[in-house]
Amino acid sequence: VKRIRLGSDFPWITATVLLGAVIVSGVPALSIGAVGVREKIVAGQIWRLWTAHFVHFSPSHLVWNALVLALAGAAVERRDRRVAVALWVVAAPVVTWFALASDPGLASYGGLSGLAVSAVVWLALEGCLTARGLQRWLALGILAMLAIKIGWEWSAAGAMFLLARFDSPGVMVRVAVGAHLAGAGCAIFLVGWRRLNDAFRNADNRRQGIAAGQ
Amino acid sequence: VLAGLLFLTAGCVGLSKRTHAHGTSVIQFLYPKEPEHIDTTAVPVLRLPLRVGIAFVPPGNSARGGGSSLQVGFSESAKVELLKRVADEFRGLGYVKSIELIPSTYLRPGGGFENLGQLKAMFGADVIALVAYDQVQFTDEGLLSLAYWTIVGAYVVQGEKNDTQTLMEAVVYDIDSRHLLFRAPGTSRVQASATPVNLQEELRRDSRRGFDGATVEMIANLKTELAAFRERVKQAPDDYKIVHRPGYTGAGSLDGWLAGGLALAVLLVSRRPR
Repeated sequence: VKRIRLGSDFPWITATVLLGAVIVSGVPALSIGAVGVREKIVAGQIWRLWTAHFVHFSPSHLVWNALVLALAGAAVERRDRRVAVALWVVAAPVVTWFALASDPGLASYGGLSGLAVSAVVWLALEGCLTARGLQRWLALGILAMLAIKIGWEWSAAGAMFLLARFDSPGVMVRVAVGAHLAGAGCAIFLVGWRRLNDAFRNADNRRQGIAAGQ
Repeated sequence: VLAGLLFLTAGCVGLSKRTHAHGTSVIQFLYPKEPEHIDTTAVPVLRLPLRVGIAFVPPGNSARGGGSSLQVGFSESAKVELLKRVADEFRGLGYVKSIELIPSTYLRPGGGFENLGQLKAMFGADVIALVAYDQVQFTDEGLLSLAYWTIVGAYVVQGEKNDTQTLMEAVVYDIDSRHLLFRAPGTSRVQASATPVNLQEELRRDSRRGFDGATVEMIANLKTELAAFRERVKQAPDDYKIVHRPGYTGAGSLDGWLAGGLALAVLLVSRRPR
């Protein structure tokens, strides 16, 4: 039996985010304090930029988002923990802010899928750049699937579809397309940032190597 | 002589037919001057979440009357009860913001869409559910009515055969575009018998039972029609324009099939090549 290693390999950041989502989604009082309400963020409740991702509006909303984030987040974290940290520290507030800023009618925002999309796009882009054969095609397929989803969400039919899934009296929930766009944008930025970082590090090493050789 | 008397008496009091009819008509209310007129409706713009008004169609100027002055039909309290039951069906929907029960006094006979426009201004309703009904009661006297020539028979023998047929209908209109969004009918048939002495009382009871039965069926159909309407809006976005009112909540969400596909693809992509 393979033992689960809780050491440095364990995706602590992803696990913590998922635990937060389960707890906050399960306690309505916490959800009220965590959901990304535009007015309250503007009034200074900055933490909502991060905690909005913990809030979900139905059990299926939580389950599907959490499933994708658990797999993609853990894969990202195993490859490069710095990226997982950047996803949570940088991408999370950007996604919430962009979701609210891109749709003036949106009063509040919640859900992990912006971050999940970010992790998936990062993995797919890395796959396109580094993998070969079937894995590269799969990575391209993931990007195509997400592009179709985001495009469809812009249409009225997509918005109505999501609305239908979140029937809860008094609360009208529709898709926040900006969240997925921002998630994808953050992933592209992080791939570029990592590449640049690696390039600078290699250049530094080369320079140090040349200097040591001289 | 007795046989002749019996025949004449039976001819006087028996084997006659009476009809009571009363109801309201959506067409008569919306198009009072030209019942055959058809509006060219625009594409309905549904501003979500919707504000729904629910009202009883008022009786028309030429309301149908029966062969007697029997006072049956809906009392105001029964109307309010029914409107509440219809409202309950709309209440659980996420895309409905508010539901207003509009008192009958705000609708005038033959008021048409102008009257609905006034309701929109007064109650803020975008969509209105108009409830109409039609009830016909037939009373026949069977062979047992021959016993009425004896005084006791008129009290004891239930020779009056009543047949009450009721139609209830909820018709939902988008006020601005004058577009019929959907309708939900309900019918019932009540058959009973009575003595001549308690005939009026029995007819009133049958009338109430008829309304109850038709209402139950109408509410069940309303549930089905609401679900079907939502599907129609999803499948035919060109036929209905959806506009979201500011103030809604946004969710980042992955659908089940997409989440499953992504999860599988992520597992395969993130697997290290051997």
